[in-house]
Amino acid sequence: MNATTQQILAAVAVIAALLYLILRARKKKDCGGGCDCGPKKPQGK
Amino acid sequence: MSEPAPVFRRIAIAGNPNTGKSTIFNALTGLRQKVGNYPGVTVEKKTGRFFGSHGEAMELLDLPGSYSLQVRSPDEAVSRDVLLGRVPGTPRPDAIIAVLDASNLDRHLYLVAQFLELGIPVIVALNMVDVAEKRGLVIDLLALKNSLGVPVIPMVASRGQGLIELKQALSRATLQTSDQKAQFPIVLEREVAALSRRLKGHAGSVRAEAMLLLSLEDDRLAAELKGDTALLAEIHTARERLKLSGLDPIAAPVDARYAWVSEVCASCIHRQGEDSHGLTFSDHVDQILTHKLWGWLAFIGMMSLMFACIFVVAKWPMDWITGGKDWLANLVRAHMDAGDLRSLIVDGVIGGVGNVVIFLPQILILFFFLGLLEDSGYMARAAFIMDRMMSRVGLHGKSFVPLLSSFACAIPGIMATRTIENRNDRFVTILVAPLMSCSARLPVYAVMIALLMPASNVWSKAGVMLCMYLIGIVAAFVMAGLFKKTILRGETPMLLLELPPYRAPVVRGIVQRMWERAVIFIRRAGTVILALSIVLWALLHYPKPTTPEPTPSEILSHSIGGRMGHAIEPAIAPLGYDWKIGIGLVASFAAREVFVSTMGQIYDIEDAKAENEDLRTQMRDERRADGTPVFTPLTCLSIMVFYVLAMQCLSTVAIVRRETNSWRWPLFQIGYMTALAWIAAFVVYQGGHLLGFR
Amino acid sequence: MGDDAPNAVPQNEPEPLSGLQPGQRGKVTAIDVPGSMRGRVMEMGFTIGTVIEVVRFAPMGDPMEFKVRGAHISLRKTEAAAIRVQRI
Repeated sequence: MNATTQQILAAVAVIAALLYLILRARKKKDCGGGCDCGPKKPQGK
Repeated sequence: MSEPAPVFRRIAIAGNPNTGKSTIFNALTGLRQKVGNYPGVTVEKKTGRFFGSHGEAMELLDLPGSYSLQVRSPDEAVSRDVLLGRVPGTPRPDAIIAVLDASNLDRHLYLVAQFLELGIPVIVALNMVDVAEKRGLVIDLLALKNSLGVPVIPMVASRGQGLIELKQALSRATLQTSDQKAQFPIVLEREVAALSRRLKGHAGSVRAEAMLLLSLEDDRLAAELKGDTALLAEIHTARERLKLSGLDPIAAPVDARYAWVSEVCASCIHRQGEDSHGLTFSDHVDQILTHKLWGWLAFIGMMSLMFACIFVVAKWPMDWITGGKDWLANLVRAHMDAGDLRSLIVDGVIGGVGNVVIFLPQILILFFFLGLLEDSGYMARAAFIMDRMMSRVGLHGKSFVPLLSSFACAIPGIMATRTIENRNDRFVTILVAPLMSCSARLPVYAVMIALLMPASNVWSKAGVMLCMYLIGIVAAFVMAGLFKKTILRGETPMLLLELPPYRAPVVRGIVQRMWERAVIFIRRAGTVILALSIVLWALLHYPKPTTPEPTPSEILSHSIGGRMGHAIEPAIAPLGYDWKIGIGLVASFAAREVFVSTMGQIYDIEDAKAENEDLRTQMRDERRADGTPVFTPLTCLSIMVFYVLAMQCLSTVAIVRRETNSWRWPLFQIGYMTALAWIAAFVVYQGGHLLGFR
Repeated sequence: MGDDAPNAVPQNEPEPLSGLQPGQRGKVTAIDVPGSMRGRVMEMGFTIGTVIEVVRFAPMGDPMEFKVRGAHISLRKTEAAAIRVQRI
């Protein structure tokens, strides 16, 4: 794989990672309840 | 959020803590479990499926262990609201399995009394009958069944005894409600009847609810009624009427229920050979484990053992993981030409994910130990012993073990704070946990100490390291005290801790829980950390310098990360650092030990590790513009102090965010710790200068 | 119940639970715990008329361990002080 291809793919990966983080942050904010995102307490023994 | 398939029956399982409720839940549902959420609270909704005696599908809902249905915090409201059928998405259960400890019916039946008021069929799972038998307790099951008006199933859940009978009882065509319950004073019944007409819901539910509201203390009542001032006024007048009749509205229901419990116990329990002064096996053990001297020794021994295991036993899998990481990196390097993608994969992905996976052995071992301590009952003793110290800063004894665990890694420590019921206390513990020097800081300490005092012997070096640990501990306590007085203000919570009888831990249950938590950690932190590592890689590699074939250190300086290092130089110069160290600090945010490899990158050393002589020589010879050395003893000390106190761990941030359900707290944590670290490093460096050190 | 300590309270006067020594027992006469803790304490078994036995003090001197209705419950001295008992 030559250098330019690598460069492009790497850039794509970085953008994907950024998008993932942004989308995830958004999803957490909208999640008012009912979805599996809040912190959890363990049940009693 | 509707259920996927229709169920024949919905059953809730509830009881006091430490009754083996989870064991029964697991035994019935096996792997068909699901963890979800109740809207608005931090309690997890644990459901599972099992099949009745005739093959019908039943859903089991695990309610948190509690001593009463009375509600004094939003989290406690969950159990009560589920049983009243008031939680959207969670229908009112068709039956309740009440799990009781056969050796302590005098208290455990209190909750059953409350269940019977609800008008829902109850099935009593009388667990740990083997222990009761050994203690000489003879329980007349038939008499108990008649007194309660519900089926009573004797069980030894840890051995699987009684499960079949329990399933049979649950599978009966119709489940009947009991006609037995506690007798309340007539005046109280009258007020309850009047009040229940104002409430909405099932006949049984509103009566129970009215009773609970009448006996709820003033400081919680307003919050509970959510602004329904008319209802609040009615309850107050009802209470006044009760007081005029000579009743204490808070105590009356409790007394009535316990009176009923005593009657039931008197008719069903016969003690043989053991009078009320008899000492059980647990009592004997406690005479040692909570003894003034032996108790301490045992405690320190137990904690040391836990630590030794974490550091020593974890080393093998950790080395194995590091080896795997290196092998994978080399594989990629061998099969790919040098280039951005290769760098991204090797440094960003493998390095980033590797930094997460490397925690796993320690986390697993720590959770295993915590599970053992909790199940066996020793955890309560640890809280009992340490409470005095904890309450000095306004914390509960239960905060101790999470803080102690954070010495290995703050992540399981923070996850362990779930046992702390009080929200403020839990948050304070979470906020200060990272101040306890975790194992990731060790490589940094090692390099700095080697630079600081190359000629000194092992003992002095260990001494300095101990100092660093102590600084962290002191800081944690001081900040905890500060937080409890200011932003997370609250009364020191009441201790009211039960010391359950010692019992053999159910290892399978512990391993299952340990595995669940580890999976959560890997999945959650792994995905976020992976993404963040890629982004961090980008920050340290883009934009690219224009020179052909740049060296790693050139790439680094030219990148955004590098420029950040330059940019913060004025801010960190008073601490004795230069921009190269600044880059190290920025990069450490991914994981503290990255500091060492980043320093290596900056000094163009391939694959730098803490023991690496080249790195140390390079750093020692490094000079500033004016010829003075960069890594003077004082600078080294300043760096170490900074690392003790600074928040530098993406994984921890991710976990804190998850445990507090908001970004506010992790960001605040980063802020306050960075400020603390800066101030401390400043004081060390400048103070040292003033005192004439270099 | 054995010898009284020099400045002991006459055995029928209610005294704070925190004043009892390991091995001594008392019958609850009043629960003056503030706020929402009052109900919690009562539901754990500390009701009027219940007999409480002091088991021990923690190694650091606080909190205290009690035997209540067959279970072992720990309270801080300040919390136990709000519960008045009649020594028996």
